[in-house]
Amino acid sequence: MHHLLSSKYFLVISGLFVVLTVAIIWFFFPPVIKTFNDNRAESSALAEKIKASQAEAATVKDLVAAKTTIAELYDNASAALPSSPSADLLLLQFDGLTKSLGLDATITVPFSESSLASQVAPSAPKDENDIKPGSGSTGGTQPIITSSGGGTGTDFSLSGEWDYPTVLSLLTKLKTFIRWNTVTSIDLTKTADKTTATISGKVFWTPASNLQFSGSAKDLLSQAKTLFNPYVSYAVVPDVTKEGNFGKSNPFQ
Amino acid sequence: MINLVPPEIKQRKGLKSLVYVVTLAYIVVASVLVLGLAGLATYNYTQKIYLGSQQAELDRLAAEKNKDKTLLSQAAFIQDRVKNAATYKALYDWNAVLDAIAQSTPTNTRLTSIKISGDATKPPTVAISGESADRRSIILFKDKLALTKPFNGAGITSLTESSSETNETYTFSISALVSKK
Repeated sequence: MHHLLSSKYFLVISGLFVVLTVAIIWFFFPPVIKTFNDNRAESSALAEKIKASQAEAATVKDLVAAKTTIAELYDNASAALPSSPSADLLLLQFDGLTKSLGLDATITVPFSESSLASQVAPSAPKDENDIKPGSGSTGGTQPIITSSGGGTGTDFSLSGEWDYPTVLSLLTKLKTFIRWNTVTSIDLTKTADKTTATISGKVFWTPASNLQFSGSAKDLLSQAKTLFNPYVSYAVVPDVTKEGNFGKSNPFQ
Repeated sequence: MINLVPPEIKQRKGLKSLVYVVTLAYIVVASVLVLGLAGLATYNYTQKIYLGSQQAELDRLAAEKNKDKTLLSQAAFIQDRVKNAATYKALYDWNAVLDAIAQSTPTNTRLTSIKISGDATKPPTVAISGESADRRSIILFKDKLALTKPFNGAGITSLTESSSETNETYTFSISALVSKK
């Protein structure tokens, strides 16, 4: 060793080696290793994301295959629990429900405070044959003004001159009524010549925001079909682009 | 055989070969370091290209998903409603309540009013009014209601007698609590 240190050549070459090794280890390796680690982390994160996206893509594929069913179920879900009070459609639904039983009914559903509440004025029977057994109220004739309350519940009431079996039928129909509802009060009063009934309750709505689908399409379809199949809809959503005749030269005639 | 080479020359020669060996070792170590560095850099470069292709695949999948955004939001809406359906389930079976009243009404008793009301904080109350030919039937009616599901206790709130020329009638009011189905 002592002899080696006396060699100039050895000292120069050792000095060069030390400088080169330190330069490589100190300056060149750290950024390359950092890039290596970053790439590895990014790669595993991307692999996870791709895996999740592929699963989502498979679900979307299943949903696309059941596009028509999804559209029907969406209509049912929107009718059952809409994202807004949807008083217009509720009125049409109740109108359809009472008409399906051949009832003349006074239907009260709240609209927004700026508009009049809706009321279906029951049509008077045209002749004796038009009066159906177990029904026959002419209902109220005064406009009913109500305001839609806060929260996600909307009050409604159905009233008319109905007898006991008719009220039972109406309550049965309300159980399978497409708009989810709960009856809060029932009033049946018999006087000398008629029986009047009022059924009051709440229908619901809840805002839908930032909803994300998760899970399998197959499970969703099966659960949704089981849930919505028993419900009956009595009206379709009005579509101004497809129905109605408009335009009069004198709207007062 | 005698080596006649002087010891200094022999020593110098040995030193020279030792320097060569050490230099070779330096070169090998330095080469390994440089090759390792180059190898890592090349791996990083190929990895970068691979990451780019992975990102492209991810973008393609996201674009495919966005293409059916409406369908996905409809599915999410349905899923939300399915999940929350139980929240909106009716707590009381009103058909069963009215049916139980009808089945519990004595044959000589006639009802004039049934009022059912309640709110979220307390169980609904059924107020029944009617007329009967005798007091005993009214009490039996109350007892029958108290024993019948879905009622949870019943009590007479008023009982008055009204006489006419032909017969006596009793008007009554009964109140009963309804239990959940």
